[in-house]
Order: sequence, then C-alpha cells, then structure tokens
Amino acid sequence: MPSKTLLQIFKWPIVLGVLTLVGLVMTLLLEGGWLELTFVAALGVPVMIMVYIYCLKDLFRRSPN
Amino acid sequence: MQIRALKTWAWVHKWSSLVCTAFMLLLCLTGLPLIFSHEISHLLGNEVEPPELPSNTPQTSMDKVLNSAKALYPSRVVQFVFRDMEENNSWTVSLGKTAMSEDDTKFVKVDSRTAKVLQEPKFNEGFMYVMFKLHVDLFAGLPGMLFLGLMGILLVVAIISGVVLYAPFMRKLEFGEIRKNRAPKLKRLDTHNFLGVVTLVWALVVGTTGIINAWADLVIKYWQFDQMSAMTAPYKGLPPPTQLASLQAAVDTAQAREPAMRLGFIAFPGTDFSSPHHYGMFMRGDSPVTSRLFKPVLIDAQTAKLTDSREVPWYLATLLISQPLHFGDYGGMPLKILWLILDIFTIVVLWTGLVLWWKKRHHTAHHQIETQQRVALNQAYASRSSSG
Repeated sequence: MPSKTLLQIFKWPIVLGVLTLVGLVMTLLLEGGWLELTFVAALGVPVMIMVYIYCLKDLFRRSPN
Repeated sequence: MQIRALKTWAWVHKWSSLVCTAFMLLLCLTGLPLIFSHEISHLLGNEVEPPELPSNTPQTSMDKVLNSAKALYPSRVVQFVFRDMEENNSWTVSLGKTAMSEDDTKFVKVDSRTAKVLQEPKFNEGFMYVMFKLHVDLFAGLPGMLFLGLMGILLVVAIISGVVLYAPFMRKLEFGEIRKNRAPKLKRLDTHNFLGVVTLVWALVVGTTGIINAWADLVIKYWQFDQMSAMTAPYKGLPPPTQLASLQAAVDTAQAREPAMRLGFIAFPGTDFSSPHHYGMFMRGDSPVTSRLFKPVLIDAQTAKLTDSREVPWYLATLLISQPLHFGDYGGMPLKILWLILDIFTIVVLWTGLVLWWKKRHHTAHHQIETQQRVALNQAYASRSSSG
C-alpha cells in the first residue's frame, strides 16, 4: 500500500471526533427535548463503530465457515 | 515529520502517560460505578422514594419539614436542605456538629407533603462513598483533588502527543486495521492506536471537565471572597442572629424574587454558601443549561427579607456547566451506557499503553544484557588468545 497522506490518515478520526463532540454538547443543550435522543445517537455512532471493529468484526467474518 | 521532532513527541507521550496511568486507571475503575450511582443506591435499597399520594396533595410548610429532621438530632446544627433536580416530593436535611463541620454529618430525608421522615441516607459510608472519595480526592481533601487535577493535565498532554504519534504509525494501515495474526506487540499497538483515536474527543472532554472539577473547592472559595462578601458587606461586624425567621417565609421571599426559578438547595447561616446572617437560597432555571446554574438569593435569616441576588459569575458557571459533561448524567440511560462503554475502552487504551511500554523496556534491557555479555566474552577471548 502506498503511504497515506495526513488527510487520509485523519479522515475517519475527524468524522468520529466531530460526531462525538456534537453528540456530547447538543445532548446537554437539548436535554429533555425530543431531539435529545438524536444527539445521543450521534455519540452512539463512534461507539458502535468501535465496538464493531474491536469486538464483533472477527466474529462476523468467522461465522460463515 | 523530522525524526528528532518525532522522538521528542514520543518522549512527551511516554512520560506524561507513565506518570498519570496508574491514577487514570484508578479514576476509570472508580468512575464505572459512579456513572450508575443513582441506580446502584436504588438497587441496594439505600434510597427510599416518597410514597404515591394524590397529585394534588399540597406541599407542607418548610418549617415542618425542618422540624421533623431537627427532632431526630436536637443538639445538631442544620447545614443544608437540598433535593435532586427531578425530585418534587422530598427534601434532605443535613445536620452537622457545627455549621462548618464536615465529619459525622447526619442526613434526614423528609416527605415535603406530610413532613414525615422517610429515611436517614448514609451518604458518608459504604462502597459508593469509598469509590466517590477515591475518585474525587483519594481521601486527601483539597491536596488530593488538586493532585488528581494535575494528573488530568498530564492525561491531556498524553492524548495530544498520542494524536501526533498516531500519524506515522498509520501511514501503511487502514483505519481500524488491527493486525491480530502477527506478533502480539503489533496487535497491542494497533488496539492502542485505534481505541485511543476513537475515544479521543470523549476522553479530552471528560479529562478537561475533570480538571475543572478538581478546582471546585477553590472556585467556590473565590466566589465567596468575590461575591458573597460584597453581597453581605452591610452585615459585617454585626452579631449573628439569635432567633432565625421562619424558613417558609424566607423561601417565599426568594421565590417571589425569582418566580420562574425553582429552589434547588438552601444553605443555612454560617455555612460555606451563606453568611452568618443569611439563608442562601440557590435557584435553578428551567432550561437544560440554566437548570445546572444556581442563582443565589440571599435572605436575611432574622427578618426573612431579601438582601441581594446576583447572577452566577463566569467562573462558577464554567464549573457548573462542566459537571454534567464529566458525569454523563444528562442524557438518561442511553448516555450512561455510552459513558460505560467509553470508560471501559479507555481502560483498554491505558492498559495496552502500559504493557507496550513494559515489554519494550524489558526487551531493551534484555538486549543490553545480551550485548554486554557478548562484549565481555569477546574481551575474555581476546585476552586469552593474546596471553596464549
């Protein structure tokens, strides 16, 4: 694989970081409102990706065999 | 990046992490049960809820609530009367040996409609108390708090230097690629980098708000010096009141001053949050943010008349707003579960980092011994062949 550029390296960390920050702050600002859950979900996306890649990916790959 | 700069960053990352890792592991572990402290004390039966009564049952007088608590401990001094943000039908009264004493405080939870005593919560003993104290000040008071705050600053340094080091390691790797079938060292390194970079923003937010919280006691002290003393200046030098006015009358005065706000807690005369002459009434707003900010309304404790009320200054507002971002207690159970997962993954990041360092150090030491042995052997061989 050719060497990646900085932008390529940090593309996903930036996307997930922004989702985390938006989720954390907007949930606080909209506490109690119906939109609140949307932003809890925004924080949930990076967490789910992390759980999937770290814990579940191999299980899914192995299961067909 | 230049090799030299990279080496400097690696040095910064290594030492900032090494110094704080043990404490961060402790904070992450003790933080786990604290996320669910409300649920846990419910499960353990440490929290008695007020009974269901018809919703139109009126609230009784605050004086009756107070008297119910005082009747249990007549020789004690009332320090605070408080309730949770969502609590409508009870107040908890804290009673100390003196207004300022912190040891052996008694708590009495009273139904705010019937003035019946519901329970005597034990906030200052048991498993959760130990977790809380370890998390906040290591049982060492203000120095402990500030020390943990300093460890928090090192954590932030470790995170930032970690981001810089992330790039050179990822030049040939896909995002999220963990080399599980190669050497355990590579798997550990990839795990550390991947989990570290995904938990990055959360860890920075919880870290910085934790640092702010470590200053809480000092911020409050400064607020007293800056604002409380100005508000109570006309009372300076006067003898403290011998007879206190009706608490309900004082509450009514505060509520009349801030009709749209809701009483959060009352600080009694002589405590940190009032003066010897005042009830400190702390009012919450009704929006998500203002409900976290307490607006103080000072009521003359002898006459139940208004003395002064001021907006919360920026430094206290910063402290109060940073608290939910540290505790994760503002988005219901879904947010608490995310906090739990992020906390656990942060423990994995800390642990893999520690093991990476340990193995590398061990490896280097081993390597050095081997080289020394080889040099010694060579010398011995050389000296023998030259003598023979």
